[in-house]
Amino acid sequence: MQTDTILEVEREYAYPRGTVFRAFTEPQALAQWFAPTGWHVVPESVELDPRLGGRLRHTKVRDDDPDVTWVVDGVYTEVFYPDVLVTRQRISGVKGIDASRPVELRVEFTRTGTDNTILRIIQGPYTEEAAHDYSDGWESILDHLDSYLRDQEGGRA
Amino acid sequence: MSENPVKNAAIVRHKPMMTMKQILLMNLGFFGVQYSFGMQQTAINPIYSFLGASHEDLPLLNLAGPVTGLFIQPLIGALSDRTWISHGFFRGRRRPFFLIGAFGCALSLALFPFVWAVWMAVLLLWIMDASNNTAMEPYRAFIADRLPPSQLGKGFLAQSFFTGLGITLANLSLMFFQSMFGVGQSVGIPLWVYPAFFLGSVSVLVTILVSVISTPELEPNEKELAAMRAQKGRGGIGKFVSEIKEAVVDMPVQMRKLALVYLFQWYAMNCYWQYISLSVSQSLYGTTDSASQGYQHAVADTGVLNGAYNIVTFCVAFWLVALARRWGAKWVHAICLWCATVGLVLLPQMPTLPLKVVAIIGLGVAWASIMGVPYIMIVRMVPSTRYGVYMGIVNMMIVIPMLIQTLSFGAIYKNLLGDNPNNAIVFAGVFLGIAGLIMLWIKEPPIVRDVDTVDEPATALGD
Repeated sequence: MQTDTILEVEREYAYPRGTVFRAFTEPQALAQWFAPTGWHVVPESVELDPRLGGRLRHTKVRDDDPDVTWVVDGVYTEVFYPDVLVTRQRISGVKGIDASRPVELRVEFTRTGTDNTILRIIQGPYTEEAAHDYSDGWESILDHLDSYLRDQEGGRA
Repeated sequence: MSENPVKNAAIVRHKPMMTMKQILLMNLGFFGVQYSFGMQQTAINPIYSFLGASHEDLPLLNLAGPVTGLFIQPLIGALSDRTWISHGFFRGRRRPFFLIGAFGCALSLALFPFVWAVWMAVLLLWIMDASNNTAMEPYRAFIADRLPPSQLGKGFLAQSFFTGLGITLANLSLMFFQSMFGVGQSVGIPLWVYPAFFLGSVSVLVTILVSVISTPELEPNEKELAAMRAQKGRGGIGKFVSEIKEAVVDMPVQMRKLALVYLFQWYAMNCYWQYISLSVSQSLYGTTDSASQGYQHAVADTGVLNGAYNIVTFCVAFWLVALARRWGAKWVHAICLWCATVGLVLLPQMPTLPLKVVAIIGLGVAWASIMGVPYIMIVRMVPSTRYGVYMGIVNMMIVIPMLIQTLSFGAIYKNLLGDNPNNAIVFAGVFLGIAGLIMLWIKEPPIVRDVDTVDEPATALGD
């Protein structure tokens, strides 16, 4: 199967770009939401250095089987705060993804309305099948981001 | 903040990456559009002269270019973003605009040789320019629709390649038909103009048809259609104007600096296009009298020159992408612009056509860069959700300098440059050089290639 599919996921959040951008670049924040349902991020594994050439790493673990891990190891290739964040990553431990072939994750933050943010995730290339699996994962990850941002807002209020 | 109602559930798209062949086929229609622009650049001003227009009126007679670019392109961009026709031959988001634009171009090109007064030529130029813009603006958006950000550089450079090829063939056709039919009568439109325009008319239609048939648009899913319907309901032009305002406010600083580069480079390009045939006529045949045979020869020689620089353009277009990726777009673009400065300063001094062809190489290199390299820089730093609106802004950064040139250069030409077309070409070269210098003011972040270029292998927690 050809690795030629790029996945795009888009969602609007009622928070400013800076807030959503920081949820992607602060280790304590990312650890709280950056996993699909049934997985969690190991907080101590998160390493983020959001500048050009900086490293990013983290490990996700399955809730019901801690032996199953999913490791992301990458480098920041574009950092334009608060608009664009691009990383090249090797992903290991996920069925259908070849750990030896790096994928690109481009995250874009666009202001809309007074202070809302359109978040667009562009990731790949994957096989078509892997892209379908990953898109389900992203939908639940973005739900978790929404809950995280809401909790943060509630905590500050 | 009060509450966080998630306005939209996530919209998911799967975008197949495209092979080089598919990217070229997708952009083939750009060849037709640029063929039409090529006719405009080389043949329209001589037609004005054949019809008796004075030299200092040339900028104003060309007002259609910048004005339609300023108003039609953003309007079409906004309309096509909100369009989805689900049935029939016009099915698609960008396709209806390609087809309407192609038809308008083809018709106006076919009618152009039959004009017998300056006002008719002006009217047809407005229709042709509006049609060109109607087909061209959705092309920029079309490649952003079809290609992921990682392939956009290739997409823009494919457009640069076809720009070179389209304009080259337009110019070569003028030369070919002139050698076939001879320079003709001393007043009115010469015979050789007819087949050149007819060929242009056919090219636009055929290439755009091939593109739209070979490259279907990506079908929007239900959520996207709902978002599009919601966008439609949010108020057309007013909403679009506020989108532009927001994008200008959020525009990265480096892109603002690019606007200054564009001011000089596009002012210069307009000077070149408007005065090159007169300059060739003056420097090779010693006359600027449009009724003279010398001038008609000069028009054909201009076709050779414009063809030559565009041959250089399509030869170097893809090579420049590689250079820009390796060394950064900033230096590549600045050096290309300086190549043009050297070429244009030397051009009027060259005593023969072959030597002028050598001098024009610099402009070919710069033109390839102008049409592609700055876009590589822009797509790095702005979100792809805003490519449409930023391409509209870039378009304004092109047409506003052209408009300023149109309104100001007549007086500069008469009072400062001594009514001498050779000076106008040197002036264009100097302005391109200034644009190159301003380019150095831009801070372009270095290019980080890949995860493997940074050390330390991946380790799972606990390893």
